Amino acid sequence: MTGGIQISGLRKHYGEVRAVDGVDIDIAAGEVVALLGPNGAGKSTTIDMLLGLTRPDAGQISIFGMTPEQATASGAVGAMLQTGSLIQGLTVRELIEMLAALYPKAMPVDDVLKRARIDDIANRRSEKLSGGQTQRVRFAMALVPDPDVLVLDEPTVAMDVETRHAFWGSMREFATSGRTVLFATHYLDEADSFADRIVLISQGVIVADGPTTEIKATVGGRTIRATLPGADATALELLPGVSKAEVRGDSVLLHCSDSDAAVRALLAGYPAARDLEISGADLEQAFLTLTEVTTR
Amino acid sequence: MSTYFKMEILRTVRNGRYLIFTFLVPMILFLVIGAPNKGQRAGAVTLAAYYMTSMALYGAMAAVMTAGGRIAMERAVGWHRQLRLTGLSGRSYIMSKILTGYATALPGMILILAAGALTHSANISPLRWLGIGAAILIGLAPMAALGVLIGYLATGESMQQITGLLFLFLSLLSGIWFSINNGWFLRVAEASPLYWAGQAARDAMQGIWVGWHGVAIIAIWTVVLARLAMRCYQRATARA
Repeated sequence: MTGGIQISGLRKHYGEVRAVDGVDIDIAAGEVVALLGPNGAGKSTTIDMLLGLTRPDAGQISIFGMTPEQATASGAVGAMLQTGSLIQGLTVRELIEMLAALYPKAMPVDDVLKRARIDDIANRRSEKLSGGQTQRVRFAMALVPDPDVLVLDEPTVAMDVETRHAFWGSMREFATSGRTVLFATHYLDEADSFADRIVLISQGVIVADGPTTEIKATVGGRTIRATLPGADATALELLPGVSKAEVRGDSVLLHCSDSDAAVRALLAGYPAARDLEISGADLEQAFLTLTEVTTR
Repeated sequence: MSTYFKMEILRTVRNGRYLIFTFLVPMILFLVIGAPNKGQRAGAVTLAAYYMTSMALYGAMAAVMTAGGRIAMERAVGWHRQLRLTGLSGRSYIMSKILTGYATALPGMILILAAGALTHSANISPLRWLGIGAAILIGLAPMAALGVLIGYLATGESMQQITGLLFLFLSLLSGIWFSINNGWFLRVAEASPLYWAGQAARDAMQGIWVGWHGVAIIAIWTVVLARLAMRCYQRATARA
């Protein structure tokens, strides 16, 4: 099996901290996968091992049949790391030329500039760039080897809204050309908009892995909180759009797959319900719930 | 690879500090202290000749050591991680830094020696001029290793202070600023590779062979510092 990326039994502990604790991910060539998890979930450690920057304590990684070191050195993998800035004293174009010279085969520099949408700042010195422009250049650096696999570690964290938009635009272009993309993020929205598949990671283990729509339904629902004395959880769970109901004294908590339908049904069926609060997906909470389920 | 090297040199010469420390400062000091004092002696040679070789050495040392020290700054901004994603090996990375140091040391050194020739601070054969240049460049080998060592030991911020202090300390100790002729000061200086680099340059100017003792001191320091640098490099890049 040489196509795609296979990660199996990946483990990395830092003393007592189990940063990555037995991760298995299989990615087929051409898939766009989001590695979604809260801060400290083990996303960056997993990605660093995938790129050969960190040595795993245990486990195997194969990228198109190559080790991470071979894959990066040959230019099969391009990556945008989470941290890091640019060296000074070179223009954007020179910086890209410099990196291109280090790969056995590289994308023509003009193509890189165009794809990353930085041709307008090609002749600007790296130290004169804004934060958003720097991020775009860092994305361009990932494209330099014309990679089959693009790995991005929280690429949009330091971006403003406009840059983020442009960034995902160029990303989409890249992904439609049949290449494999793995990106880490802690924004459900980003995973939802750009990935075919979401791998949910929390506390170093994978808690869910599946098509984006499926994962979103699991963690992306809203919750309705209301005051409703004498409510019955079982009856509330029968309301449309409600996936789970909890009763805590006089207040009820409804986990919803369709909060609009649930609100209407709740108010129609229970006129006594008051103090309604609807809140969006709480990822951290969802991860904790999922983790508890897996470890139990 | 040649493009990479070209960019390294471009980056270096575009830095304002480069021009100041490898050329302007040593050139001014030579023209002010050295050139006007052709009648005065400094050890075996005139003060003018002494300052010509000293300042050529000083400027070249600035270039060679700073090149290695820049490793610390690149580590600070995470550039070394970016480079590890390319085919560039750690060894090639260090070699390119050392070569950049030497390549950027050449212009300042040549200009100061040329100023020496134009001011008649030394009237010698072309072969001896070449000898001075060769003595300086070979004599700086331990400083190149020291630069790399600092690159892996220091942080981006402390690099400049450490290099600055080492510069001051080593150049004072090694007879860059004034001739060291006897006493315990000479004993100390004779243990310093930089002293022997200067001595070799002055000897080459007079057509004298510096002797195996000095060459051995330079060689020993080169090996010791290069080994230390290699160890620090391995520790710094060990994949935790």
